[in-house]
Amino acid sequence: MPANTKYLTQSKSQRFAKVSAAILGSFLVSTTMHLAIAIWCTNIKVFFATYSYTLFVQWSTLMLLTFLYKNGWKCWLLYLSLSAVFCTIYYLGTMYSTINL
Amino acid sequence: MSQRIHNIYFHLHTVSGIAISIGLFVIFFAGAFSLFMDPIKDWEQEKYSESYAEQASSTANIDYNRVVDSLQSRGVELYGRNLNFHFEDKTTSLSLSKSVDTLASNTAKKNLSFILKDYNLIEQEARGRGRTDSEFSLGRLLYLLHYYYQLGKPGYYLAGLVSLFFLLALVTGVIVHWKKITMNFFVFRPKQKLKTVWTDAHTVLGTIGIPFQFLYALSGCMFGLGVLVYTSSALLYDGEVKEVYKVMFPRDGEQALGAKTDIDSYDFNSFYNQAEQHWDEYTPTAISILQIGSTSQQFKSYGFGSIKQKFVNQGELVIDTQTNEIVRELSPYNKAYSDTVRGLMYRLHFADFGGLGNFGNALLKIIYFLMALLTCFVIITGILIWLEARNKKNIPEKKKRYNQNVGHIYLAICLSMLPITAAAFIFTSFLPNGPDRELWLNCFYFIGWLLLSLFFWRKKSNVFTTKYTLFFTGILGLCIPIVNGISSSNWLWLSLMQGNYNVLIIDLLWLLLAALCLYAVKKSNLKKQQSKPSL
Repeated sequence: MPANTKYLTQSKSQRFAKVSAAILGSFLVSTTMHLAIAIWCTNIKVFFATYSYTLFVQWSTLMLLTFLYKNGWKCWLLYLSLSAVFCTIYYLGTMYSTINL
Repeated sequence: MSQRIHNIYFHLHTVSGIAISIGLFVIFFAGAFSLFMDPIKDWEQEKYSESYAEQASSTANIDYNRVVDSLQSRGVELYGRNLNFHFEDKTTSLSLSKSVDTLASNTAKKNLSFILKDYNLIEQEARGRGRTDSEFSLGRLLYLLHYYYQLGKPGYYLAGLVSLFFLLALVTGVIVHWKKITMNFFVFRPKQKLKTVWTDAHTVLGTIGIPFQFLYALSGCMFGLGVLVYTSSALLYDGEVKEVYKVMFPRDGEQALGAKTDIDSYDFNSFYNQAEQHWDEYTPTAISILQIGSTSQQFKSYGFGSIKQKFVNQGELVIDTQTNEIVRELSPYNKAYSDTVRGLMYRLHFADFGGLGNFGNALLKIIYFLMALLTCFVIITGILIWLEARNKKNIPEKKKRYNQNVGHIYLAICLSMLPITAAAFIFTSFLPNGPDRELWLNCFYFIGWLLLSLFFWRKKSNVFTTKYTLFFTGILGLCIPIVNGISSSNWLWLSLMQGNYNVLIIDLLWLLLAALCLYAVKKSNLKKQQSKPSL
C-alpha cells in the first residue's frame, strides 16, 4: 500500500483521456443506448422507471471498465463509435418506429 | 485477477474515496439524524406550551366543508384554484394555488398559504409547501445538510455526484478485497500497529456495510442525479422536459376549467369518506380539491394502504365531484412495476418500513442510525489509512507534510461535526420560538463548526482531534437529556410513562451516542499506554 505506480498511468494526456472517457464517454454511451431502446419501447412508463436506476448502474460499470484500457484515446474512439451506432438506431426509430410515445 | 487490475482498482478506490470523504461523512452523519427528523422536531416543539396539548393533525380530523366556508367568509376568491391540505405532525396547513381562470382578478392570481388553528385561518407568506420560519427546527437543518440544500439546487446535484463516486468507491472496494473477503472478515488485530488496526476495521466494517451502503449509493444517485434521467429523456420529446415529467409523474387538475358552480352545494366530507373507504385499510395523508368551484372540480386523496399487505403501498384517488366518478386511481395493493420503483426507493432510503415487523419503526431506524455511524467510521478509517500509507521514509519531507496537513484538515472538519451537533441540540433547547430561529440555528451550527474545525486543524494532531471531539460529544450528549428535562420538564422517565416516544427516542439516541463516544475515548487512553501512536 499504496497502489504500485508501476501499473498506473503516468502520462498526463493518457490520464486526461481516461478520466474524461470514464466520466463523459461512459455517460454518453449509457444515455444513447437507453434512448435507442426507448424509441422502440412499447411501454414508455416501464422504460422510464428502469432508466432511472440502470443509467447509474451502467454509467458506473463503464467507468470502471474504462480504466482497464491501456490507451485512453482508443477507449474514447470506441465510446464515440458506440454512441454513433446508438444514435443511428435512435434516428431510425424517429423515422420508422410506429410506437406513439 | 492480475496485479495490474488489482492495482488500478486499488488506486481508483483510494482516489474516489479520498475525494468524496468529507462530503460523504457529512451526508451520512446528517443523514443518520435525518432519519429522526420528525422526532427531533417534536423534541424541540414540546418546549412550547401552546403546541404541547394539541392532537396530531390528520386528514380524518378535519371538517373540509367548514374550512371551505371559512375561506369564503374571509372573502378569498376560490373559483379555479387548487386547494392543497398538508398534515405534518401537529400542524395543518393549507395552500391555494393561483386561479387558472384567465379572467380571474389580480388577487385571485396569487398563491396563498394558511395555517389552520381551530378553523381560524392564519395567513402565511406563500412559500410553496406551506412552511413557516417559526417552524424551522434542528431536524430540518440536518435534513437539508444531508443533501447540501443550504447551497440550493447545485448542492442537491453535488450530493448526487458524491453518491455516484461513492458507488464507484464501493464497487472498487469490493473488487480489491474480493479474493480475501471471507478471510479478512475474521481478522482483527487490535494489538498491532495502528495502520493494521485501521485496515482491519475498514475492511470488516466495510464488508458488513455493503448492502446498506449500496442501497444508499444507488438511491442517492437516483435522487440527486435524477435530473440527468429527465433531461436526457427529453430528447424523446423534442427537448421538452415537461413532457417527461407528465409521463413519469402524472399530475392532476390539468383539465380545462369548467363553468362556475355553487361551492356550497358540495359535501367535501362525503368525498373524503368515499376515498377513505375505497380500499381496505387505506389512510389518506394528503387531500386536494382541484379547480374548486367549477364543473371540472375534482377531489384528490393521496395516502397509504397497509404495509403488511404490500410493501410499496401508496395509493391515489381522484374523484370527479360532478359525476362522482373516479377520474384516476392508483391502487395501494395492485400496482404496475413502473409505479413501484420510486416508491420502493423511498421506502428503503427513508427506513420507512418498520411497520412490517412487530417493533415498529423506531427499532429499524435505530439500526439504520447505527449503520450510518458505522459508515462514518469506515470513512474516517479510510482517511487514516490513506494518511498512514503515505507516511513512509521514501516519501519526500515536503510531500509528507502536505499529506499530513490534508489529513489534519479532513479529520478536523469531519470530527468536529459531532460536538457541534451535540451542542446545537443544547442550543436549540434554549432558543425561543420565533421568526429568527432559522437564522440563529444556522449561524450557531455553521459558524461553530467552522471555528471548531479551525481550532482542531491548528492543533495539528489527529490523536488530539479524535480524542477531544469524542470526549466533548460524550459529555454534551450526556447533558442533552438533562437539558431537555430542565427546559421542557420532559424528563426521561416522564416521557416513558406518558408514552411520549418521539421525545424519549431523541434522549435515548444521544445517551447511546454519548456512551459510544466515551467508551471510545476510554479505550484509546488504554491503547496509548500499550503502544505509542505513530501520528
